[in-house]
Amino acid sequence: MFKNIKDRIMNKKRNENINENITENITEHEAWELNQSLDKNKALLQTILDNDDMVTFRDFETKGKASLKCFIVCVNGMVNNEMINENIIQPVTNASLDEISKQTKITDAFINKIIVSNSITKTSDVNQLVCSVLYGDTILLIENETEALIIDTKGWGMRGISEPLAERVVRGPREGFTESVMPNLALIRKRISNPDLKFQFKEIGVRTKTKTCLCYINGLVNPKILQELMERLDDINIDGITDSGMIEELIKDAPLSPFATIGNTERPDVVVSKLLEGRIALVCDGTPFVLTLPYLFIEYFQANEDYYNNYIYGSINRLLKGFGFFLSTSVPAVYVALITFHQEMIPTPLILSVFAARQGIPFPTVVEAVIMLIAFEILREGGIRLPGPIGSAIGFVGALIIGQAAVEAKFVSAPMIIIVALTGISNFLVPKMFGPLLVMRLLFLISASFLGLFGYLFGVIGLFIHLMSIRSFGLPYMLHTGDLKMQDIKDTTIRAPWWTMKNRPKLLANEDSNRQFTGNLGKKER
Amino acid sequence: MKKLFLKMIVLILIAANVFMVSGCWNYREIDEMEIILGAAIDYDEKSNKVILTAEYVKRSGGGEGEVGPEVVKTEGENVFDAVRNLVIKTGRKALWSHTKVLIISEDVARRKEQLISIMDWVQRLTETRDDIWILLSKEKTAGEILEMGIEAQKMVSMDLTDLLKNEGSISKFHAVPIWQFIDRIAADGISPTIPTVHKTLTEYKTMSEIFGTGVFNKTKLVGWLNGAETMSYLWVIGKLKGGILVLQGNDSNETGKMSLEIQKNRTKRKVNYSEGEITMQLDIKTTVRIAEIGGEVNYMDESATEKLENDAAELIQKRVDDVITKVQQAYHSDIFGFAGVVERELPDEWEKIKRDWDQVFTDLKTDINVEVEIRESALKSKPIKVGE
Repeated sequence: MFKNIKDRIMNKKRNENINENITENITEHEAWELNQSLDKNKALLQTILDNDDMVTFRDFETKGKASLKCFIVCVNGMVNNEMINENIIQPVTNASLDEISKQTKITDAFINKIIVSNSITKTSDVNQLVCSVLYGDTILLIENETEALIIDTKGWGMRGISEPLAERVVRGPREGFTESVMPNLALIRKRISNPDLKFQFKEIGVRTKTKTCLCYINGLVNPKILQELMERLDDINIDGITDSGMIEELIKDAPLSPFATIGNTERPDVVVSKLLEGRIALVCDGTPFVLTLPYLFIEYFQANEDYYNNYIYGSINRLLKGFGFFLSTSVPAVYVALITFHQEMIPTPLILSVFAARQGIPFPTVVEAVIMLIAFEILREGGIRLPGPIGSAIGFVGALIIGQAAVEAKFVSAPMIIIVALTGISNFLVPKMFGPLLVMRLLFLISASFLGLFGYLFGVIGLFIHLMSIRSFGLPYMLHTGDLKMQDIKDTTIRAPWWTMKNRPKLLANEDSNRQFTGNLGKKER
Repeated sequence: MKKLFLKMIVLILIAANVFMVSGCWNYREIDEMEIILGAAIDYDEKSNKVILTAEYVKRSGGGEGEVGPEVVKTEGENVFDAVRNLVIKTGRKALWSHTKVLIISEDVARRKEQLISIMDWVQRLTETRDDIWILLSKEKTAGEILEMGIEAQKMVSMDLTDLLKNEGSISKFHAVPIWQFIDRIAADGISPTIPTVHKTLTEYKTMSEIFGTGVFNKTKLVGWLNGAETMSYLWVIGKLKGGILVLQGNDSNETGKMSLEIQKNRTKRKVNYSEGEITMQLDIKTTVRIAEIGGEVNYMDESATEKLENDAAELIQKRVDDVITKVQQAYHSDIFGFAGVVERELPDEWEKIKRDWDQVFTDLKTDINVEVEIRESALKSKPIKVGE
């Protein structure tokens, strides 16, 4: 029988009509209804869940003269055993159905009088039953009934809420998302006590049926963006999703660009502030990374801590990050351009020390720069994956070998070490931008090595043309609208004081743009 | 707001261009070139050849960040020939964009064709900057100024540059960048000057010194001014920025010398014309402060201050008058630019006298009014009182 499902899926896949939802088609089929006979039903389920030793079948009977045979199916390890014992088996085996009138349906009697659970549904759909069992629910089948009960007994082990390692803050909430979707949604919901906060579930992945959840605030969100997102999610036809990054790549704008047009975060407070700006969050089961969209270029530079600290400090940090972006992309390219093309632009004392340091170096400056940049990336990549103590050893080895020995052995010149170190450190000012920075840095370096500062400038122009042409869910990526208003500067180059930021970003929240005083938190009328 | 934004964008774009179009673009590694810091040009009359002495950065090969000077001498038919002959000796092409000083010898300075050919080469070569300082060697050759750096292992060109930048505090020379020198050659009615560089032998080592001025009549060296005369020259052209004025105290019971530090100077030049005769009027207004007193007189008294101011004014007047007379009588070269003042204020008269300006300049009468103001006396208001 299960092989049938498999065959159906495979046939559907070969079908050209990929937009149709496969799972719906399977559930609509009439052959997958429960039977009157308990034994037949059991045989059916046992066939479907064949060769799966995690699945447990348990038979029992009710008390009294007219005792009913029942059995439950659950998956060991995914269920809360205590809950099944105390809230299902114990009440059922103790219950007597003698007093129940003939008019009442047996299943309703079970739901209303016997089983202790806050979430019970009844269905005759075998497919749904199987899916529920596999996701940690327990199903209860009763003799002579064509409907079975699905009881929520999910209780698998999960990681506790802890501070996200990749997005640490000095000041700000220390909660981070975990790998389970429900607690993650709770973290968001408890921060916004408003009925306009909406959650919509969606299953992605034909095989994995990964639960994803769209979150948005009704009245703030742009309905067109929401509609567009729904359509893109519906277009996904993949057998499995293991991380939100896969969804991101499947639905993002400018798929070939290294720049992200969908953001991700592990922090509930970041998600909440994005929701309040009219953005949409996409929570995916099995990963702590929540997607936020639309995502604009400026969001690379907006850290949550900027908004919690004093605005002057926050603004300085914002400017520093912009400067770090410039340094990280341009320093090697500008250095190579100046040293090999425009020697007259360097102050004489500086060129004398570079001249002295470059004596006896076997490689041209460009090759030296590329080698060192690659060495830095190797060290970085190697250090990330290694466990803590070994990771720091890598740092030592890298610093000693590359930093000192290479200079002493005249493999590279000392100024190049400074350049690469500066590049690498300013990399960490915009930590979400590693990939794009790496690509841009090498492109700028190569173009600068061909044409000097002209080449570098061509690279910069190319980058700007690219950035200006990207859109994220219909919004211009660089927020370029043709005219500059004070409103646009307030949360971009600087972080204005909170009392001056009375409006939401204009392009996003066109339903209700007032953030302070006049706004009615989500009500459509002003 | 929008207009302002556009303007800003245009401004930024223009500013960005300045950075981008500032040099040639061909790939050269700096360690494949010799960085020339200074050049000295001599002329050998016997062989009719130009001798170029270039100071460049030594290759230590150590990579320890130590740099020293190295000097090479080449000969050529003319300047560029000698420059290209550098390659034969050093093995690498020269990088001229960091050259700081150009020293010429007296032999060169006295020959028009040599001087013109050097200036033409400097302006024509793309690498050399127009703000190279030009110096005139008071020694036998210009090359020996640069050569003395080898023994002491220091870069003479860098030292000379540092010294030239301190003109404002010493005022015994007037630093001239090469573009200004060439401008003066080309302009009507003004002659160029070049500061002179000397070599001094002390007990321990040889040192370079800059003081005094070489006076040109257009392209020909005609004479010299010493350090004090150069200071007076700066007074006349109004370029004096600082310096010390030493006075002999002439109070009845005063014997010591005292120095006044010049803080600000303003020289106004105008032309008085009456009955066909031109008089150059110089109004000099100098602000000084008492920097050193070699006696016990308290010059902060009002009367004493006034007397001191008058004495100083008299001294300045005399010194300025002396230098003008010297240049007029001995050199007949208008290095002060008086012609420009006449041209500006009496354009009609200038047309008449233009042709024989050299003669008019020699006979030009000057009327010098000096006003000195003592503004302060630094940290002390009274002189040191010697106890009984």
